[in-house]
Amino acid sequence: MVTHVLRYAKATRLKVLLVAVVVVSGVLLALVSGVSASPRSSAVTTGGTLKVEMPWGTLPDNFNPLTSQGSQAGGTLSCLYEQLFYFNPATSKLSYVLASSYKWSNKNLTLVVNTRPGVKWSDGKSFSAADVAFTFNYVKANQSIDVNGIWSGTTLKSVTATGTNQVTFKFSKPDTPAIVIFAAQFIVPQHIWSSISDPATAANTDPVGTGPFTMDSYSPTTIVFKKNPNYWMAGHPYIDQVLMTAVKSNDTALLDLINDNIQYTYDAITNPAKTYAAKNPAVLKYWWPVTNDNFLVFNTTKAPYNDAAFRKALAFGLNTTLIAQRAYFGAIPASTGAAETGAIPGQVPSWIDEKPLKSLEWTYNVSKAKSALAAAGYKLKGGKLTMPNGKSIPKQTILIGGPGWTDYITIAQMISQELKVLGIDSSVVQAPWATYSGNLPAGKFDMAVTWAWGAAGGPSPYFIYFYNFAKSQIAGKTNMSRYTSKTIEKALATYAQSSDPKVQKTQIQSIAQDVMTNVPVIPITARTNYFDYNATDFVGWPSNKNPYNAGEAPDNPGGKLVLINIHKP
Amino acid sequence: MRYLLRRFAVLLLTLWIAVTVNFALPRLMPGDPVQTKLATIPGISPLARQALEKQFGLDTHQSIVGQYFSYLGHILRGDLGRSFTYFPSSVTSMIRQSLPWTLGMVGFATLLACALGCGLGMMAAWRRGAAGGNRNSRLDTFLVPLGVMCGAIPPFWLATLLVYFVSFKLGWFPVGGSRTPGAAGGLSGTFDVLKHAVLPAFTLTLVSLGGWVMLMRNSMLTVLNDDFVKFARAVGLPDRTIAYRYAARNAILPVFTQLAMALGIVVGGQVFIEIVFSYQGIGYWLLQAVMNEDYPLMQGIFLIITVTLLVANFLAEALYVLVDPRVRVEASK
Repeated sequence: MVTHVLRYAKATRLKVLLVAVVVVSGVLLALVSGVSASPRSSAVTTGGTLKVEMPWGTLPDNFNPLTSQGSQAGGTLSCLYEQLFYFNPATSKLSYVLASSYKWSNKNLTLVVNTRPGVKWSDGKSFSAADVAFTFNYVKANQSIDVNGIWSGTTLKSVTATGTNQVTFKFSKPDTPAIVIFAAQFIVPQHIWSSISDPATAANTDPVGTGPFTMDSYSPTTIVFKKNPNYWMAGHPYIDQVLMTAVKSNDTALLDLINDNIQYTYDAITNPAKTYAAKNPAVLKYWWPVTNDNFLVFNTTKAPYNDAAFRKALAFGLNTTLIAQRAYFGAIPASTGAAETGAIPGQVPSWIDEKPLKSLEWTYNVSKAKSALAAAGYKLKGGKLTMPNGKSIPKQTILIGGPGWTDYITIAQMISQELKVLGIDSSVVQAPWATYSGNLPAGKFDMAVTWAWGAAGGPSPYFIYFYNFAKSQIAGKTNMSRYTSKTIEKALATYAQSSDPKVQKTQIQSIAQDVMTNVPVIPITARTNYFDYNATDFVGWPSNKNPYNAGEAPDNPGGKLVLINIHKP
Repeated sequence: MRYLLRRFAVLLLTLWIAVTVNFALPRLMPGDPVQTKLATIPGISPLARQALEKQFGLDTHQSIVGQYFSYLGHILRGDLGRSFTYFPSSVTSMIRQSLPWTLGMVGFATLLACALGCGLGMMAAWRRGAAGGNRNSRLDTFLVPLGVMCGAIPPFWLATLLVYFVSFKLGWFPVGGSRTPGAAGGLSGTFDVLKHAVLPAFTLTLVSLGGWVMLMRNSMLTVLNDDFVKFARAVGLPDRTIAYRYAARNAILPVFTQLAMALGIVVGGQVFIEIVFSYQGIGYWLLQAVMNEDYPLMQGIFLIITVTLLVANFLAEALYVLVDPRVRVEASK
């Protein structure tokens, strides 16, 4: 009896001891974490440190700006290297970066670009037009790094440096939109890359660029970028350091942003007004400028989607305002009015005359949709729609990507419900990225919800129209709806041969007209960039009042503009 | 000795089969890795696309048998290739960066769960099984349903709760990551790493604790029913000696096998924990590899998992021979 009690007491004592140890170590750790919590931008210099976080998982030990975006560490394309131009996709505005001016001549067969004088590489050597010419010819010699299709997708014939600060591009045929493709090329120093024989696999771990920062230290979770004292924009950047980290989930980035552990991230927050900004409206901000569209794409090679009247009738049957509200909680608008041409709303004032298109616009009106369908020969038989030839429309599929794209799930489900009202039976098919990105260009779908591929960064509606409606972009490329029209082909060709904005504007107008008449795709909602920031320590952020970039991510050249413009108050 | 040699031969054969399946499986997946990677860069030059195919090793000039043999050759040389998704990062460098974190955090959590679980299970069984199994034991009564409940908790759910309440609201631990950006090395650096590891390790330990408790408890109960325990009590040996020196040692044998398997699976990473806590680890890479049809990364990680699992299993069997005299006698027959 006594021994039993003693045994029990001994065991209990052991347990009590264990619990005490755990509690004490827990308290110790909590104290340590409180004490060593990372300080705000340190009071060491007038500049300050900006903490940036990217929620897509990784920072590889690679600073090669010539491979496709995403292969290199975040910050390579925003802090270290630069391009000739920056075209703002939300506003169409052009900014000069390493170029200072350009001019078309010789019936648009020659493009002369003047480069910016007085620019230095981060190793002290001078930048000149020779570096630009070298970069373009380097890409020509190593097709594995022609990720923008500079030599294969344009009619470019030659690039030569015709002066210390002048580069001449010669074309075999006029191709004025090529300048936007050239703007995507990052310029690298000739004195370093001329000795690298395989640029596709070069890791470039000691990067030398013209950008506003230099790479100070690398680790797989954090990269430290320090201010480049030789940066060509005098006085900029104002801040001293950028700390770039990568996390694996949007939630972590969001929580860090709310806690002011980081100040700048790129996150499509669900219901940002309520779940994010409301927590501290004075400093928690977000700015999501429209740079693309979410379309309902029809496979126009299949019946009944090959009938323009059918497609147009469906447009009246979709309540895009409600769909946008449900999918994005009011943070992203529906595509109404001028956006129904497919063009980005910020570009419409400069490029499209809305008045003549008013009669082609559609608004949500179910009875109008039903009567338009009937007028086109589609009759309702027992609640199901039949085609003019009498056959009933079989169950259709709406393809979306996944997994977990909750906005697209909402959009597709609501579309399916609204189509049911019109008598069309459909189901939503969620495919993993590999299948989705393969089936869309291959035309293996009935309807699909997707964005305008290839159009990111296009400063005029030409680029959305070209990538989505050009005949050349059908087979395995970006014209998912497979729609072609002689009007559009002619307008695209005329646009590309001219550098006169008036001529180009006329072509855009005629394409917009064709798209709104034939409705190969229905723009459902806008698509935006997801710029989120915590304004506690810095001012000078872009916004609707001062849209100096398009809300791009911090590893994007547009993000660079934030890094060079913000400063302590 | 012959027993061990036979096991070793089986190990080699299994390894070869695993490596072959490793080669075949990604290629059986539908979809084209080059298209998947380049889908979002539609403007890419066709020559660039071809060059990339060649660098991926997917140029169809080589027959599938040729590809298989070159794959075997690369493996034997330790060259796991370059990842498609994160081209041109090499698979070895990616694994080298993340595997130590997985081994450290998940490995530690597994060992801790095993140690704690065995201790608790043993105590519960002893309380109940001692003196002929007539005793009611509060520890045992609570432990069994608690263990089952802990095992049923989804790890990602617990992780999200902890991140929100403990890290975000209370601020006791960092919201995510494996270390604070810009943290120094040395002692404060180690503390920083430990601070980031507490919540992930706690989550993993808690959800796997139940399994170990049940295993040890049941094994212990079986042993306690043996005659030699009755004999030991009759002889007058103290309870503690019977429990630790005799019963527990016999009961722990099944735990060995289970532990070997668990440690082998550790290298597969814990994808949910890594995502919720943004913790560095190999599970996240595996998920990315499968989603992006990244053959080399998938193959590389699967290879590590298979090899580790097989080797761990083999070591467990070898350990069995050392530890259990009954197996030793069997083996030498």
